Amino acid sequence: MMETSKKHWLYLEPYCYLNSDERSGVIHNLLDKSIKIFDISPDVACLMTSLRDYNNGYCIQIDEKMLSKNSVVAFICDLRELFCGDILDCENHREKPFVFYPKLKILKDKSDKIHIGENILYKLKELYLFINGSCEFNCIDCDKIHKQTFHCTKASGILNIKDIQRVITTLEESNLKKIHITGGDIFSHPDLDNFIDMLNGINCEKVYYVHYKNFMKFKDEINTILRGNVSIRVLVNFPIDETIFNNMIIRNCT
Amino acid sequence: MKAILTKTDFNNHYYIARKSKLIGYLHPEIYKYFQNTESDIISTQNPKYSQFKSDEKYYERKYSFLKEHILSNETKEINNCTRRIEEVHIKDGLDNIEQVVFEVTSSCNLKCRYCAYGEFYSYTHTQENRNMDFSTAKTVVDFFVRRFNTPDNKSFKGTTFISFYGGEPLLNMGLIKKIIEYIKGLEVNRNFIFSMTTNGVLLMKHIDFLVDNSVRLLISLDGDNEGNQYRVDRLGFNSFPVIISNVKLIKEKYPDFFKEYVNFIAVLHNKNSVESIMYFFKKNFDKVPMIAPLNTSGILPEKTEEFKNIYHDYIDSINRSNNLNRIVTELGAKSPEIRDTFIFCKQYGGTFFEDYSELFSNNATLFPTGTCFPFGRKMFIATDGSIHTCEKIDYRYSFGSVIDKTIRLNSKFIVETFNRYLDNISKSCSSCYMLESCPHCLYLIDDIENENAKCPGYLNYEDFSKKCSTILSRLEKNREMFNEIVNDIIFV
Repeated sequence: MMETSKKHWLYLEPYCYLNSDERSGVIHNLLDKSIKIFDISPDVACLMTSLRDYNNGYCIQIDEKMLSKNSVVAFICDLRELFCGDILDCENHREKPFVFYPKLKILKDKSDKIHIGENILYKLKELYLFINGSCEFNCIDCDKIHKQTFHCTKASGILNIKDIQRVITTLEESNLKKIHITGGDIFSHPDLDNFIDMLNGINCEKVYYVHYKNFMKFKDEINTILRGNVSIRVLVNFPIDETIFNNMIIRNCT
Repeated sequence: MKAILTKTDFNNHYYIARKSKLIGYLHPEIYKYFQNTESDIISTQNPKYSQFKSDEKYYERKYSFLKEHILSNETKEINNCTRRIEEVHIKDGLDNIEQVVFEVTSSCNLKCRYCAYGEFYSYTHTQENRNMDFSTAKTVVDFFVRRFNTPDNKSFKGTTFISFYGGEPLLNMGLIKKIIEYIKGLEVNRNFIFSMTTNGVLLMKHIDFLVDNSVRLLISLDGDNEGNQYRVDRLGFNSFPVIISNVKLIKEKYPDFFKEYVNFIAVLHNKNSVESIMYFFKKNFDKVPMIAPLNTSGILPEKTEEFKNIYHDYIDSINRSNNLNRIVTELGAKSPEIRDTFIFCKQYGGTFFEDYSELFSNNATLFPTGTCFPFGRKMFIATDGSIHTCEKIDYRYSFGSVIDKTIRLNSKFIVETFNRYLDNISKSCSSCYMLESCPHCLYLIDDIENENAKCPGYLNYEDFSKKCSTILSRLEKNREMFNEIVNDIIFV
């Protein structure tokens, strides 16, 4: 009969990744990318939960009783076969081995107890503001924005200046370097002057997108408030309306 | 070079794979393979665990696996420390400067025996009793404000520390007030935090302004009266009574400011100890001070023996304490043991990264030493307008100057000079096992201007293995420390 009081250390290697759901478990060796997926028993689920608890340091104590269960033995065999873990008897190894468990730490997140994904805004480099959807034209490429090709597009609704202000305030501590402003026809936004004025106060590059057919609505007074690191990109699609296009060129480039 | 094997106080064996960035426990059966040639190993089926149907040579297979995937990466003959800085590093540092330190005066109202410009050191100094003028400071501030307002400044509303240093900065309070008022009147997308290192003698005279402007104070005080006896005035009297009186008054008059904005730095020597310093500040102010050992570089040869008498090592001092665990706990992140362990975990554990982009980089080449890039962290401007990368290094390593309201910085010169020093030390670094976690600044290496300069912190295999053993033994005994390091502590 097996001695049930005998204790063992079950430890994982630092390159081992464990995960499980209600039905399956996975052991992944991050060095050779080998992987084992298996049906999980309640005993093994319990073991895996304890092993994955970082407070246990990737090493837990188990007794012979636990080791007499087939599912546990199979799990440990899998761990060993993938070189992802092993056991030691506690009698000869009173102090459990120290395992450098692989918990990701990003130092420049600066706040303590942070997990990857938190402070996500800090990684944000560019912002697209779709400020309004109204436009009087029906261009062939109008829906291309939804196909990962940039083009202005018609839609209902309007982003009011309060909401834009709220977004900008939220992003104050981010790493934002560029803001793209698009519509619809952005010149039909009722609060465009104030909106541009607000963006001028932000220290990053601003790019305004205007369809060439709407460009004739460009008011000179807007030109005076576009300050700093600003550019306007004119969107063109074909077949081109040469009259409108030429007028635009004549008015703005000569 | 090879993977480090080490044994802890509990007789556990570990490998430290520097290239693979992995620290692993070695099962005793595997460790046998490291001790012997493979032919000496008898089949090692584990008889105690007969329920595991491993083949007879399981541990031999696992050893081969470790060898193939981890240990084989470690066999390069030397460290590849050929990385050098480029002008873009300088520009990036200046565009995003984290701290600007003004030496507002070189005058001091104390004459501390261990001062860097005192009797023990060979450091060169700018002219004594000189004050910086406002024009110099304004030129520097304007230089950075222009950079903060360009897209090359990476952080919208980031923070820059404006720090006042001396001499004793409070002796030129007029300039400090002008600088603070000027900066507060600027329109710039940057947060500024003001800070000052002071001996505290003149604090009561200026405290209202300092409180009104939330100036963070780091007060130099070496503990109690006995511990403070090297901090003397011009007549040789211990400055302790004056300083303690001032500090207690501030605590009484401005308790919130004192709690949040006042901290202490104590220098460790033969008249105090880590324990006595800790006890003093805890009892009187409920604070944990910074504790710094004496600077060991630049010592005049004729003063070496005398210096050795007053020098005390930080970790030795902690270990001599009767309350070792309490001290380490109270020191927390300020404990050199935790810092040491943190750096070890960061450099060799493979799961600590500076930022998200580092997750995707794999720099096989390293910079020699652990020196910060010029202006990567701060700029120090001396009273004479000379520009330096840090206040802790000798004035002769100047990188530029403020002349006629203009900043004279030549990136090419800075890069060439810095890289020449890296070249000089790289031979020493190339065979040093400590390179990835090197804490040494090349400017504090006495013979850095010589080709084949020698680093005082050089560690060979045996020395580094011992260091690893000390740290891993510490982690085995204090697992909570590791959890704290992983979850709570950040050094940047």
